[in-house]
Amino acid sequence: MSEDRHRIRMRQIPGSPPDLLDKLMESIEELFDCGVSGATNYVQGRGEQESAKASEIKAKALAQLGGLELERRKLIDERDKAIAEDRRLMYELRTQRLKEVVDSLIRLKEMSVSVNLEVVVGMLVQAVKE
Amino acid sequence: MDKRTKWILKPSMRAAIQSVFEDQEFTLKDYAMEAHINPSTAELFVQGIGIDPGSFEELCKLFDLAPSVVVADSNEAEGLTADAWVLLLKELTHPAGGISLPILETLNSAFAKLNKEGRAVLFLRYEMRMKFSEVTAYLQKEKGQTFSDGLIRTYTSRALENLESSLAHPSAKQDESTLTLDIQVNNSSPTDEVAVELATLCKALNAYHIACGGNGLEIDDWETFFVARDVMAA
Repeated sequence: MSEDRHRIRMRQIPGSPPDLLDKLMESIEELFDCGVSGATNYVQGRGEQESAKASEIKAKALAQLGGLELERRKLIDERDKAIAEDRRLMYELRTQRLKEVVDSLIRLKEMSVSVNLEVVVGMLVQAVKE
Repeated sequence: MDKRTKWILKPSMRAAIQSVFEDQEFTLKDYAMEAHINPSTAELFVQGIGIDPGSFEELCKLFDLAPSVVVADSNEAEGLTADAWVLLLKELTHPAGGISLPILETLNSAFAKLNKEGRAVLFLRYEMRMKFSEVTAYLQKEKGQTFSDGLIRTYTSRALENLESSLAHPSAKQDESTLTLDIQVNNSSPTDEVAVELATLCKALNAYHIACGGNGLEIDDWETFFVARDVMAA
């Protein structure tokens, strides 16, 4: 495992519809070039300095994500409420959320940061066996 | 005193376990605890090992884990869905984190959280790590027992060996898909702003996932997360 990778992995919480991640990626990619640079898709800082910097950034970013689980409940409630009220609201919510993702990617790009998104399919027991 | 605690699993849980481990029995050994699962009979045993019964009692008290609370043909087990069971087992058997931690504590935390929120995950692993250091500190201080890192690693690697041999024919169909964000920066990127924006992006992805009907995304990088939190607390 290369230590120079600066990768954040987000795992899909069980119970989600199948292929949802792929669908998300497709919709994001329609609006933003998420980088399909093949084998070099993961990133190494080009020099030692950049690598250390990426590492620091990653640690700082993750430190801010402690409340994700709480937020998740709130978001699920919000979504379920939108579904219950009106289908149109549901689509508006979805569009808004997609916009937030793309806006964030654009802001990062403006800060000279490239973020490549990729869906990786894996199996639990295979991981254990490795 | 026999500390084995027997859990009788519901048929749905049994099916879930079998889907991961087929009919093979397996045993997880920690430095302090042992859990034994027999999918055929749908029984799970949890037992304290490696420390004397007195210390085991103390540990239970320390973590508010009266064995009677953990005994489970109780209502607690009833609240678990098949998915939750698979999840729980994943936590227990995760190569990066699950094994080297007190199994009993793991189960208890997992049950508490699963019952409350329907699941447990990253936070659970994080919490387990913290508890682990608390346990070793406690044993050293109160019982004069030393558990060096080396010893813990030995137990961990043994546990992993046991587990691997028990998993000779895996047939898990659990979807472990992850979304990876690979980050490239250059020297002109402002560190703090980028970190904030990356966190925003992770949150936005989580929110979008949920808006599209999913259950959300979580950071699958507990080691980094732990280190980051540790640094923040210092």
